[in-house]
Amino acid sequence: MDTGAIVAKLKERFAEAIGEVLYPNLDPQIVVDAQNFREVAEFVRNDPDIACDWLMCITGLDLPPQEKKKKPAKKTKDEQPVEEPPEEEPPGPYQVAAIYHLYSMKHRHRVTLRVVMEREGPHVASVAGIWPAANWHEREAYDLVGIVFDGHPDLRRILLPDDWEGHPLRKDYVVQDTYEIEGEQVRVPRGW
Amino acid sequence: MPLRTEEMVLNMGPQHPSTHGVLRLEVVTDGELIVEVHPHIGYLHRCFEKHAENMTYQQVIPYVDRMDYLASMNDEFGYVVAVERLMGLKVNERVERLRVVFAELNRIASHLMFFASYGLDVGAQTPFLWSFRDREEILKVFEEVSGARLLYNYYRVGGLAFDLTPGMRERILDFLQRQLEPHMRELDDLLTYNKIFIQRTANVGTISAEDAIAYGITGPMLRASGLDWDTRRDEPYSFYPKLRFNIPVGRGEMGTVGDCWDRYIIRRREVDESISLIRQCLDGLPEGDVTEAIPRNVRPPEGEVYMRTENPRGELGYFVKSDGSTNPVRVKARAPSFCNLSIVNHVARNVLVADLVAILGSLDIVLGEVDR
Repeated sequence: MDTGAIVAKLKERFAEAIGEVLYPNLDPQIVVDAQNFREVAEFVRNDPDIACDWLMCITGLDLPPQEKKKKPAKKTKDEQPVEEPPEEEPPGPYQVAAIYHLYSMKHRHRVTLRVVMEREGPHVASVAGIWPAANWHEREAYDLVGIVFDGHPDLRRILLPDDWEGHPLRKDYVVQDTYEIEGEQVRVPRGW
Repeated sequence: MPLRTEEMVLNMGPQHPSTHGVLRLEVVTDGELIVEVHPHIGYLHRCFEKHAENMTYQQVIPYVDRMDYLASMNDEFGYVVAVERLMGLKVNERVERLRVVFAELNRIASHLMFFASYGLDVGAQTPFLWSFRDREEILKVFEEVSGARLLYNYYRVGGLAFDLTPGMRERILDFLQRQLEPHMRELDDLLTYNKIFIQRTANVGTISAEDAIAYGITGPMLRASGLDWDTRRDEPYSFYPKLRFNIPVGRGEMGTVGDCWDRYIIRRREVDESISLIRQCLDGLPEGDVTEAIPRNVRPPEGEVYMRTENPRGELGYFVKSDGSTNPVRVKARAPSFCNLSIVNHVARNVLVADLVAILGSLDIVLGEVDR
């Protein structure tokens, strides 16, 4: 089944939870609402026409608000430079996204689901019960981006030490000053 | 007086000859049998994904090599193919063929390293030196072509950094025919059908096909569990659509389907397939310039792509997100060893500690990939 047919089938079952399809020419991603994500994931796995039994990867993505820059118009020598007040556009919301790359061994098609959440307190249902491969991938997304997966059996840091502060893959991450090793505060090196 | 039994926590610490890198396994044992295994990773975490956001696309390539340091050509291949797909860039046939030749040579080198270290794990010390003799010849080829023995920085987005040196093509073919094939047959006599080796590895650590798909296992481990899936044939990229090769699948010849011996024999047979692939690519290699399509500034259009390639350890996937500038916004590497290692708790139930070493060796993990 191609992506159009899969999206149609999903929309027929979950009308309001399915959003648009991003990047249709390259690797289509279906935007899914965070509240209903668990039902959509179960449907994608169990429905015999979609049957995505293989979770390839879960990617955590930090989406800072897009700053809309206005290019100044080119001025000729005679014109006086005109002072135009810059347009005050409010920046978009700061979001994080979790992208689930799924594959179906039976039908040999790919489905990519994208869940976009608010950056302060991102929560989405865990799919570790549906695909056991998700266990470690969700721990990594929690560790590096800070997305909390509700219902995960053991959500703790996997790559960084357990008492590390912050989530490094966020765009405004600043590394902490000191780290405690055996009771002493050791300075964290900051590069050159 | 009643005997008191309790479970013991055994630490196979980050420094251990059999954990293939800095991996800490917290093993809870009941006597000699294992109850649970908790792997602790992160000792080699170098935040490659954060670094990649500050580099240009070509500058990410040395970082990408250092993930799976035993198969660097394959790491670079996956990344370069992903960025070229994002850009819609096509390369000429000489580049495609040479990329496949070096990726397959590195697959052979990585599998030789697997034979060496797996033999050492179960107690055989001679295959280590025999495999390294052949691996040394391959590393000499790589050094002559790219300048480095292990971390090459050789593939570029749009081509390769340098062309083959004169006479290299004949040297590779000669090496395959006169040295590698006879030595592989000797290795078969020594290790593969050795009765002690079979007793150590057959019927140990069996992974069924459903478990393998559920846990995201890929590569030789998935094929050993009976599933016929190879990314080179089923989602082909680069020059693979024009090549003919067989995919070895585990049949449980010495024990059950999906045990450690199956995982070993799949990798042994893959060496033969790689030799055949290299011969097909070098046969009829056209002339050309390998650097002609390398753009001066790599600026892919805005987009996100997830591209997967077949690493010796499994399926290496790259998620690359670009916003039109010279630096990628996000590069995520889906490492095969990361997913393969997550099954160790499920598999190592009620086995002896010595069997845990055999199972861990057959997963063929590289901690550089697991931690990135």
